[in-house]
Amino acid sequence: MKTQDLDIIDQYIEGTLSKEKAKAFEQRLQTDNAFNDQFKQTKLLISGIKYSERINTLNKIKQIENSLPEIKMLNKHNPFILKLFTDYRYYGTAACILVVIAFTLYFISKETYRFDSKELFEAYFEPYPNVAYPITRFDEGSLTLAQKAFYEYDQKNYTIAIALFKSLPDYATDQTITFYLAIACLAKDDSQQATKYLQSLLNKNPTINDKVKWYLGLCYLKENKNSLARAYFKDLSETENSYTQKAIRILKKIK
Amino acid sequence: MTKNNSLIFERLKKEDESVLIKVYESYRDEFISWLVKKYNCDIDEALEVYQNSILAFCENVRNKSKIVYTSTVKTYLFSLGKNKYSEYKRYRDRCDKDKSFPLIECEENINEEELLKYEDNLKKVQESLVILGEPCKSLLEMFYYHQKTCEEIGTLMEYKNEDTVKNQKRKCMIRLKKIFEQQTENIHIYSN
Repeated sequence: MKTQDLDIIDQYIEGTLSKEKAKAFEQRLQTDNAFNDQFKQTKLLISGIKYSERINTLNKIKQIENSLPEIKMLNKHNPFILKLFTDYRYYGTAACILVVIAFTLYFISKETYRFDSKELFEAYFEPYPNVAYPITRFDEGSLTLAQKAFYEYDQKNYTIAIALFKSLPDYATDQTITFYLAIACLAKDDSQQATKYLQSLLNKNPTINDKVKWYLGLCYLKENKNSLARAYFKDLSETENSYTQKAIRILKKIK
Repeated sequence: MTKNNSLIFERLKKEDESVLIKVYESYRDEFISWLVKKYNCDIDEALEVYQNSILAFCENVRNKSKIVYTSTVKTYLFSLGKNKYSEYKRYRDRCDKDKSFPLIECEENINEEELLKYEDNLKKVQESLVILGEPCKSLLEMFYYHQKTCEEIGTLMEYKNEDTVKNQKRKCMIRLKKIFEQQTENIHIYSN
C-alpha cells in the first residue's frame, strides 16, 4: 500500500478533502479495483481500532459500576421531590423549602441549643434591684453614706458604689450591704470578688439564700466553672422559689 | 448551559477520569429508574443501555462536531439514552437475544449474517492490534479513537515532531494491515 494512498484515504474518511479532490477520489474508487479494496480494508482497520478501544473504554465504565453501591430505584410516587433536587429548573424552589426547614429547625431547637457560658451569663445576669434603700428624691445634703452608695448603685456607677459600700463601717457584717457589694462587683466583671462575698452569705439567711445561690451560679458560669454553676441552678430548680423557672431554663442550655 | 456543565464537558473532553466517575454516579439511579419506567425494561437491560449511553457521551464530547453545547449534561445524556434504547431494541429484534449491546458502527440496512461477519472481522482487527503491540497500538488508538492531533500525540508519546508522528502512524498502519492479512485467509472479507 502506497503511503500517499493511505494519507488520502484518511483525509477522505475524516472529510477534510476539498470538493474536487473528494470527487476525484470517488471516481478512482469506481475505476481502480485495487484502490477500492485498499479503501475498504483501511476503513475496516480504522473501525477495528475504534472497536477495540471502545471495548476498553466500556470495560473502564463497567469497573466504575463495580465500585458503586447497588442501583437504587428512585421513588416513582414522588416525582416532584425528585425533580426538586435533580432538575436545575427547580433549584430555586428547593432552596426556598430548605430555608423554611432550616428556620423551623432553628426555632424548634432554640430551647435545646447549648450556649457558651459567657453568652448565657450575659443573657441571664441582671443586677439585683435596689430594694434596701430606694432613693425617691435626690438631695445630696440629706443622704447618708449608705444611701449615697445605693444611689450610685441605682445609677449603675458600680465603681463608686463599691468604694462607698466598702467605706461603710459595718459593710463586712451587714448581709444586705455585702450582698449588693457582691452584685456591684459582678456587674463590674469582678466575679472572683463577688463569689467571695456571696460565699460568705451562703446559708446564713433564709430570706436572701435563693438570691445568693442564683448569683453564685452566675458567678461560676462567668468563670466557666459549669459543674459548680449547674449545682446551684439544680438546687434552685428543685425547690419552689422565685428562681425555679429561670434555673430550669438555664440548666437546659449549659454545655 | 451553566458554567458547571460547561466545565464538565471541558474536563471530559480532556478524558478526566474523576469527572467521568462523578457523572456516571450522579445520573445512574435516575437514568435507570426513568428507563425502566418509560420502556418497561428490566434493570439489567437499562444498565447496559446506561453504560453504552455514557460511552457515546464520552465519544461525542471528544468529537467536537457532535456535541450539543446548549444542553446540560443531564439533558444530553438522557436524549442519548432514548436513542441508545431504540438502537438496542432494533439489534435485539434482529439478532441473538442473548447478545450484548453492539459496539460497532455500520450501515443500518445490512442483514444479520453480514452484521455478524462484520463484527467477526472487527474482532480480527482487535487481535491484530494485540500482535502489533506498543507503541503502534497506542498511537493508532490515540489517532483514530481518541481523535488526538499529531501534535498532541507527539507530546504524549515523546516524539520529536508532528512529521515523526505522521511517519510513525503510516508505518504502524502498514504493519497492522500485514498482520491482519496474515490473520485472514480471504482478503475480500471486509467487502461489505
